[in-house]
Amino acid sequence: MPEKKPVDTIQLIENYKNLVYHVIHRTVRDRESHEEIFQEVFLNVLESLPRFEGRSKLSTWIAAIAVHTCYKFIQKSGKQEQSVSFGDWLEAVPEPGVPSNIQENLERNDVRRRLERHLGELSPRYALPLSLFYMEGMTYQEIAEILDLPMGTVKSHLFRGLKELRKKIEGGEDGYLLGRRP
Amino acid sequence: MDICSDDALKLDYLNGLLSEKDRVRFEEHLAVCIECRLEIEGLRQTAAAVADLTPLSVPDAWTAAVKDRLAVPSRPAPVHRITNIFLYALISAGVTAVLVLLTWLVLGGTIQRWLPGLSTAALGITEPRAARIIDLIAMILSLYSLMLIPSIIDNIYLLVRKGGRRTSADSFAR
Repeated sequence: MPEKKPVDTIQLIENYKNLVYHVIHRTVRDRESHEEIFQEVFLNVLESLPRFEGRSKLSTWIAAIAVHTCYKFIQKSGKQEQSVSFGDWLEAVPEPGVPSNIQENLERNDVRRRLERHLGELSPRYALPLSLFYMEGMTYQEIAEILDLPMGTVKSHLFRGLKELRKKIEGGEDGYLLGRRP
Repeated sequence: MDICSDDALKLDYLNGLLSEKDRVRFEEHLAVCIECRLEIEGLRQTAAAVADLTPLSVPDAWTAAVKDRLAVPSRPAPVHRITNIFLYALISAGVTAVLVLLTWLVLGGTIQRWLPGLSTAALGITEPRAARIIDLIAMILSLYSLMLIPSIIDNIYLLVRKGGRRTSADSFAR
């Protein structure tokens, strides 16, 4: 059995911090809690690392820990019933309300931020797979492992997520985000 | 399945994951189906816009805070979680009593009276100096066993109460 090499903790944090932040950002609405969850994820990762068997990519494994840490955080904060399973929770998280006018005004002139806002308005069950696939370059299979969902469900969420996002963009004044003239 | 309602096929086409044969078949369909063509074009633009979003970057202060937290053992990382102090105390007292009794039996000579065959004389060691050395070694081993008391208590406690969980956070190379 090959001996496990000691891990450079600092390098590990540097390599995966954006992925972890990405997952938290798409999963937990309460922005105030993001930093706390970010720390908790890395503490959990380092605590569990000796048990990592290398059956999946390290990035997939870390993203799965991030997702479950978010889930536990939401459960702990009393926003969900304790009996709700992770899968049910992912399916049931409601889409957030429309942002306030103040926030809308601040973001009005920023195309990327507006698209980001539309993505943020999607339910996590759509926004998380979309981000992991198109922004993090993960495969269907990796996303299925992270979210503990069948691959068919992941593909369905990706497709519906794209359609929902398109509808949101086309529904407002943001058609030009898709390359059309305003 | 009807191609128009096959979302998985459309998604794979968008993402360039169809086989050559399926791709050609789907493009033949697109050539004659305006609805699918418009849908695919819209979704392709949407996917490209998402892929083009600037990746989120973590505030430097967050990364620094995590590194600080890992550098300083501020997080309580007990070797095991003692969830029942009464049970732990009971096991501690029992183990200590047993070991003290054993030590007393050995050092006090009771064992030698009960089991005369274990005495240095019975073992054929008649030279007084050699007998004293053997006794000294036995005493050192007995005292050494006392040092094992905490470990023995921990292990018995973990056996009795399965909720006690060892963590390897401390031993993990930082």
